[in-house]
Amino acid sequence: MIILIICTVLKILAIVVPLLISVAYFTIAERKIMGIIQRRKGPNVIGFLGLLQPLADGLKLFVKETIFPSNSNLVIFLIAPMLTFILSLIGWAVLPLSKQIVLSDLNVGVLYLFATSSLSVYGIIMAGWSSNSKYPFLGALRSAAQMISYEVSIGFIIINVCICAGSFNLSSIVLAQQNVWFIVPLLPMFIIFCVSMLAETNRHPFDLPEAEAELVSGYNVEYSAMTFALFFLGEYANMLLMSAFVSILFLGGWLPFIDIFPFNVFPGSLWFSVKIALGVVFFIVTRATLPRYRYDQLMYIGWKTFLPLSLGYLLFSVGILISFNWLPT
Amino acid sequence: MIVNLFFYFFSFVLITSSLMTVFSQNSIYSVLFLVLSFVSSSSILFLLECEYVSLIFIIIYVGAIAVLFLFVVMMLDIKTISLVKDSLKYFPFGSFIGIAFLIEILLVVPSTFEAINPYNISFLCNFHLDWFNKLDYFTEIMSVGHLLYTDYLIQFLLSGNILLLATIGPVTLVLIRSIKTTKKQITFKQLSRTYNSVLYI
Repeated sequence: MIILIICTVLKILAIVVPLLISVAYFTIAERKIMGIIQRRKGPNVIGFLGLLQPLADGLKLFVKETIFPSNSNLVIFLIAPMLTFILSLIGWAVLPLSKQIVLSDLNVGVLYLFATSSLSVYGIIMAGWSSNSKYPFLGALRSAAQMISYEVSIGFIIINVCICAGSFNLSSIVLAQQNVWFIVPLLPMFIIFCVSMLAETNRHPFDLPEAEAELVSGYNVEYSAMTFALFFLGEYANMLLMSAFVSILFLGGWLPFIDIFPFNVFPGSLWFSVKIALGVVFFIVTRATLPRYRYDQLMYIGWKTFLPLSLGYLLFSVGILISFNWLPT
Repeated sequence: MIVNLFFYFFSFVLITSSLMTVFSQNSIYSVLFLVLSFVSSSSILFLLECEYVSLIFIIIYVGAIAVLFLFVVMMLDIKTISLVKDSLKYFPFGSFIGIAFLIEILLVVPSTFEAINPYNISFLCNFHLDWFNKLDYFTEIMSVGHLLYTDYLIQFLLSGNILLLATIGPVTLVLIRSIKTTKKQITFKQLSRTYNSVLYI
């Protein structure tokens, strides 16, 4: 019994600790790549080429004073960042990192990921409400409305992929792409998923919840030190989770680029991490290049463009699968 | 052993949070406790190996409906109301509904649930002896689909039609008939303006 508990905790740590390290290096990658795009150096002082910068940032956030606003609702104020952080971590329990390397190979892994991402609205709403201040409240309302409306089109895209794969299990979705990755037949869905992914994680160009020019910093204005760090880590871990999700759904997960000699000697986890890194670069480059959307434009795109298009493509692909008798059993 | 412990933990959380939903004075707390009770009940479903139903429960009730509740409650400026007066007002009606549901459950559970429920034999699933079900692999979604598309086809279609009606109703309610009075951005018109058609002042 005790050995079982220790083994489970070790398994969880083996996923969470590398995840947190990669979140730390995600932040420095973001600053470096944005520096390159804007023709400046980025952080290069601490450590070799500035590689220890995220650790210094983490240390700074750790030793700062945590300030609790006197009019805030303290219990919810403290629960909100923890909830955001935990929800961004538990999604990794079902992600297959390579063939047979997965913490829990759930039959409905896709639904699990979808449920955790829909639960993560609560952390933001609770943070905005409990701060008892106007900017966080507006930011939280915007963020919640945005995440709910983009979840709908994400749901339709996921259904589309699951119909093509014939399963809700993430491993069998990857194995269904051995002949051709789903990016080829479902290219429009891939593009819509990438844009919805940006909106779901509240990133540029849809970062209206924390629009600096209007709302200072959105739902996390009142947070400082470690509570802010939990929000920050949760947001970046969510981005990594979404890039992993898109690489499983469309880019063939751990499968190599082509299944011939020089490519298939590398382990599957290497290919998976390369695909996650591609997603990360996509997030950073969109942040550096695109201007922010107006809020009504954001809602217009979500409800009037993406939703009908994904619904129509779902009907189209189901029609093709049925009429050619290609439905996976 | 661990499953038993988790079951007791989640049922304790479920009961306390549903009690707190009723008795808490702040309405935001009520909605948050409602969410907690949804999550804990779906965890119990997860322990009973009904993954599909529990995750759909979370996605629909927690991810969509309770968020809208929370939205409305947050936007309205509801003052905290006196507990005793309010609960006494709704007490007869609420207790009537509660007792009706209790009687229904007591009538239904022994007659239909007992025969098929494997958890009834030993308190929770004894899956060291239940190896046959493990071999004869038939996932939960498949069984739900088989039932829905064969035995309950008519009910399924009817509920789909009812949902369609329920979506059409709000659309007709908020449909703007006179477009001229509202200000709208027509994107393609804006983008197709050329240099010549721009008015200089």
